[in-house]
Amino acid sequence: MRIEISDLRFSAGKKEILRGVNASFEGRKIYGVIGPNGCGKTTLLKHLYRMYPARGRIFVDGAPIERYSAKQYARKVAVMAQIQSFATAELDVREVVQTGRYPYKRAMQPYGREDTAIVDAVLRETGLHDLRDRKVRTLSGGELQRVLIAKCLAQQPELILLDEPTNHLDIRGRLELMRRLRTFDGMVILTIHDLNLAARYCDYIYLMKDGQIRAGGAPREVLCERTLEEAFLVKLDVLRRDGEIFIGI
Amino acid sequence: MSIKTKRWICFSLFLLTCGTAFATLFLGSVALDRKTVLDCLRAFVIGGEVENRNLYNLITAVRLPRVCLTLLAGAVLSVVGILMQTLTGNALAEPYVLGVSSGASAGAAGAIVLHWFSFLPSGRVVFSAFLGSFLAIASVVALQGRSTSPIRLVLTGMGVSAFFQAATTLIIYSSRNEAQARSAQYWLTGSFSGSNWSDVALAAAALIVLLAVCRCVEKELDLLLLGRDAAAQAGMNVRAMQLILILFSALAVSAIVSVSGLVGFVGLIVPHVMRRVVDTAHRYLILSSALAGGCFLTLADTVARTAFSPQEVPIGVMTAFIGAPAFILMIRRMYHENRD
Repeated sequence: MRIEISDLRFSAGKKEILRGVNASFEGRKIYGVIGPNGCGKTTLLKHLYRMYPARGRIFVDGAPIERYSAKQYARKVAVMAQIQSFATAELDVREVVQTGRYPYKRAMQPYGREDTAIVDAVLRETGLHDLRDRKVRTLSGGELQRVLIAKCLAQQPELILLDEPTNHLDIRGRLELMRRLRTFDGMVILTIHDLNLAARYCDYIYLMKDGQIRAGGAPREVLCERTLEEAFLVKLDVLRRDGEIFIGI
Repeated sequence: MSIKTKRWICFSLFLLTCGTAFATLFLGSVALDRKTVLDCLRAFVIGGEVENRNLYNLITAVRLPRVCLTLLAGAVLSVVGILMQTLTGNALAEPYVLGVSSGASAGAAGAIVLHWFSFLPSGRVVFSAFLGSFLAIASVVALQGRSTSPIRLVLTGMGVSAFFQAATTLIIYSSRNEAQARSAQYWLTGSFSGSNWSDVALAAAALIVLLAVCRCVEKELDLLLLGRDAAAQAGMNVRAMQLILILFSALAVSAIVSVSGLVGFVGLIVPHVMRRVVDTAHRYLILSSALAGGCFLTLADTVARTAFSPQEVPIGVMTAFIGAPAFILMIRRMYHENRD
């Protein structure tokens, strides 16, 4: 999997949200996009969801992102987003995870035995097998997050995109989610506020500010006091011990 | 809940609906005994002689088509309710609440009173009703945009509904013929009196088409329950799907409205209950709602025509008496949930 973004611009009304973003993503890595609120990281991710038009500025595996059909793209890229609809809460865990198989089905083709097998395997792998018949509304925040991840895994993508997935999770949920992403056999791109989690679990970090990428590199390169202070306008202590990075507030 | 249980519930609903339909044949201005009804039904189905020609006509030309029509209309309105709820991502969506039925009735009244589309050889009332309902539902969906707010949806529906009801009233008042005006008035209240077999055929066609479409897009409907964005991210063409749902909902609603006028809230209550009793995923929800909706409307119509006999209460009044409080309760609960 390889993604190239060159000079991506986006405005909402008069406000320029992305002002020439250049970035590339490659291989089986976890990419973290950090930056202050309003820096454009969610907008950047939404371009990769194809919610906003890329106008020939984004290439996925060598082809413009627009070139893929909706189902082709969904077989490559899964999005983990909060699901919200009046009826979602009444679905059971298995039904939600099964929707991950949708891009592999033709029109009017029902989910078959193979899909069931894949869904079962994913449910086991994510520890949801015992919860498979539970209604989504009865789940805890951490369990719901696992269901959403399981849905992405059932999609068998090469890339998983996540927009601030750790926001509503307690510390155990956060660690569990990041560890699960580590075991995923593919690329992960996520926006994240928690710098310590980014430091520990990301292979590569892009720091955004004012609609541009200000720094990119391994956590130890990007997460230094001066860069962070420039971006977030607060003084942060960065401690390095045994190759690990801790950010103190 | 296992599939077996769901099937059992649907089968029980089927028996209940058949039983209700049969029982309501006996009720009405003329009380009938079992032998007469059975004899007439037998004569109707396999032919043969009956003792009393008048009673035969009463049963086969008045009560039977009326019961069949209420069964079909209840089923169609319930299924359309489900489609609109899935389409808008909102449990309060329903043809009457969103003004889709009003759009259809404005179209139908226009065709009857003002002779719209008189160049068409036949079916101009249904066609005109279809245009009205399509316009109504398309504007509701367009005005709602990406918002998931139930309040915005319901208020938009209220506006659309008010507009088309005003249009219907205007059409009725512009009529120079008083009898025509009175008959058009009926589009505003809804009634199954005077049902005939060609109405039944139209409603049956609407139901068959609707169920066939639902079966074809079952997977997409379930996926839409996760929200439009999630559906698009899973590779679904959301626009095309919306268009299909809008088109066939409008088609089905216009067929029903042109034979019965405005009957509200069936598509709200029935799916709401069935979601709790049977399933949220569409296959068994649609099947059970179609059965329960038919049963519900047949019962409501029986009450409407017998409770104040010989006067007949418009069916829309009956369903609103049950539906409106249910609607308010649902809003109340939604607000409680949102506050937490």
